[in-house]
Amino acid sequence: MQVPMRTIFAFQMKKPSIMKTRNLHSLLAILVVGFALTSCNQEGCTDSAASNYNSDANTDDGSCTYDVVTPDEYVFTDANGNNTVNFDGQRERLNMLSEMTSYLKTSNTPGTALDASTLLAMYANDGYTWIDEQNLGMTGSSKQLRSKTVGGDLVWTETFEGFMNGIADASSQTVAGVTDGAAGNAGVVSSSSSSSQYLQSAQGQEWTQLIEKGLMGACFYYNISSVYLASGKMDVDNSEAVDSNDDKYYTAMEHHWDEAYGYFTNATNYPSNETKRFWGKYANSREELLQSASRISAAFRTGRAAISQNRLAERDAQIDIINRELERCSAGTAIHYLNDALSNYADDALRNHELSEAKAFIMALQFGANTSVNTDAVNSLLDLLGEDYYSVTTAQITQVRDELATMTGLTEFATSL
Amino acid sequence: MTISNPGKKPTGRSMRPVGLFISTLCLILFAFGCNPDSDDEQITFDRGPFLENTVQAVILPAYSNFAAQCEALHNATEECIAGEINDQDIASLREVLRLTYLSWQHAALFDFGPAADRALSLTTNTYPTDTAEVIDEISNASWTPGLPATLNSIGLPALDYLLNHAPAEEVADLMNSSPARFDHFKRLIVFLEEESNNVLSAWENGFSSNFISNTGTEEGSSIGMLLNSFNEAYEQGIRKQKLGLPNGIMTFSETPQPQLVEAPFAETWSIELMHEALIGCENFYFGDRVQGDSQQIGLDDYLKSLGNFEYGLGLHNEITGQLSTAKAAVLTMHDPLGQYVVENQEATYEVFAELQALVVLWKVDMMSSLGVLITYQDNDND
Repeated sequence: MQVPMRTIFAFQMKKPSIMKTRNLHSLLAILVVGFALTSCNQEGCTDSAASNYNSDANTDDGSCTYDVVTPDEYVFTDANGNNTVNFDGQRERLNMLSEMTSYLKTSNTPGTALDASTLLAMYANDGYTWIDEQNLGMTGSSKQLRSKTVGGDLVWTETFEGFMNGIADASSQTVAGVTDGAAGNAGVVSSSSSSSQYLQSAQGQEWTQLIEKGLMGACFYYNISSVYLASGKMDVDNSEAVDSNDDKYYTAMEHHWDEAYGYFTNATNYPSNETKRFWGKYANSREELLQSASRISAAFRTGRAAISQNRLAERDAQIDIINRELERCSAGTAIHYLNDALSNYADDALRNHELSEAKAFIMALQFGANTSVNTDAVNSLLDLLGEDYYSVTTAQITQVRDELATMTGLTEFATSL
Repeated sequence: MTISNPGKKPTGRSMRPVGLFISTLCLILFAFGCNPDSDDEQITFDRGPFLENTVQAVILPAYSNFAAQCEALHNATEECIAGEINDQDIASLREVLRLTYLSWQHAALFDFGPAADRALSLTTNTYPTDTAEVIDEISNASWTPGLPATLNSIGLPALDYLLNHAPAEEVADLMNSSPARFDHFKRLIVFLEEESNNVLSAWENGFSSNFISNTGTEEGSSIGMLLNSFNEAYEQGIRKQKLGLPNGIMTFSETPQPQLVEAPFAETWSIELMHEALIGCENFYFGDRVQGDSQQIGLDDYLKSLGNFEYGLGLHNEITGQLSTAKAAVLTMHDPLGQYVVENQEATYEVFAELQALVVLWKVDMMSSLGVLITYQDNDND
């Protein structure tokens, strides 16, 4: 190894000599130009850090503009150093869905009945006592998942309440130690190739997935894309703090942006943190192929920095990125689960579980602003998949996958996701 | 496992020094004015031609042979006259089924892309077959082959049962006395043929060219899918299913399970199928169906291009030797394999050990060595 190492250094030593020659040319050029310009007064931006720096200018005319710098973390302060970021309400709702999901999953053990009224109380945060590990004051708080599900739309909230009643009813009929879920029989289905077991409907649909991932779409995705980053919440004041006497040092626009971010992740240093649940988790899982986690989080940070500099065109460019990348993430995750279902096609428990997840991520796509997969397209894809996951064919699964990939521009990843 | 992150994969063999060495070698060549891309095949391995050859010389022939055999099987049933089937017809059908089974061993190694889309391995060769269910489905007019609930009673194992469970005369008599039984036998074959054609045409119409052009090494790249599929097919489909489960070594109780052998009803096919599967692996490894043809770029060239090192030529020689040893070991067993694993369990453990040795060489050592190459390729752009 010794000789080659020396060779490397010898090789690298050549570089500076080439540079020297170039520098000499540049220096001469600058000198020539410099002499030519000394006699006139050229106005322009004279700050070399600015994006429109004019090297010919010698008098600054105040026209300098600066690129929005993307901070490494989602940390923003006002001119006095006060923290301007707050998404406590989103943190509460994410924690509510975490607690609800934990409760739902207890029904995967046969003989564990879920109480429908408990689920409904959790959903509406109405008379339910939360564990509230982070002491956010969730119990009795005004925050709830239900009113934020597609803006409280009755068709949607009743759909989710239907899932909750469905799982409560099915769980109450399971018997300890008995995994009798099968085609035509709701119950706990046991995997033939792993230790996994899931409570599923007579058609193999898994309510827990439809509720958890379904609310990721109808509540979190909807609020990010179609509410907080949409014109209604973005065309607002960006000049003064909402209420600096109440520690609200943020502008209305900044706050709305933070609320969107809070529905995506609760970590200011995402994706270093918070990759275990909801969109933060699935974006991170799609990082390698789609760069979802890095692109979405960078766009959130850049857009927020742009708002703080009142650079709204820059903000809008980041909104477009977030909408596009969330769509790719959701569609890519659906495709990933459809492929998993093909791999586990013979395993009723896993196939049904993965198809239920895929269904929820397909459903989510209709909640994105400027979506490529609107409600009609979602419904046609789900019709194609069919309701009965025990009698779905591989041709149906691949057709749904390929059509979805075409709609969302993911064809090149259709078999590898 | 994937080879997507070679930097984290120095399993068993040290990778960094090697990568450094190759990079250094490259720099020396460059510093001295040589073009490393010119004719020095010792350190460059172009994935494009490798993928192209694997598709043209290994994968497409495997699927087209299998599809042709399925078609031949279908044709053979058409030559039988319903109600007048004799033991000669059954003997002919059996021979075509045996050839179909053999051709499947080659296609079974590539369970990704079009095959994964159709769950081809599951529809073709889920065994042991549920014989009671096979019989039940004979009278099922709305039978839809390929649905999850039918996987235990379709494909080659169901055909093995219907054709081989009794002497030829008896099988012929049953088919003659029950037209539905013969019809169901044909339905099974038609489905097998359809699925084999579906996968073949998907490979021929578009998938091949995309596969060959996807020369990256990241998750989901062609190399990644190909090598992962091959390793899984060998480890699970061959080593475990064909021997490790039937002889009990991979079960908790270590009790032989004679009913778990491949094609148990034929009684004389199991070992030949296992041997053929190893030939399939060999073809893939060497990149051709004529072993040792140096014109065909295979994994052997990948390893040999690394040079005269333990992880290069040395590993290639080890794999070549172990393949011969494993094939010979398989042939020391006698059919019916189901009976053999019960009566000679200990001897089958030794055969299993030879199969297991290939897992280590292919899955651990070879993947690690390929990681070296892939690291080198990535560093190219640094």
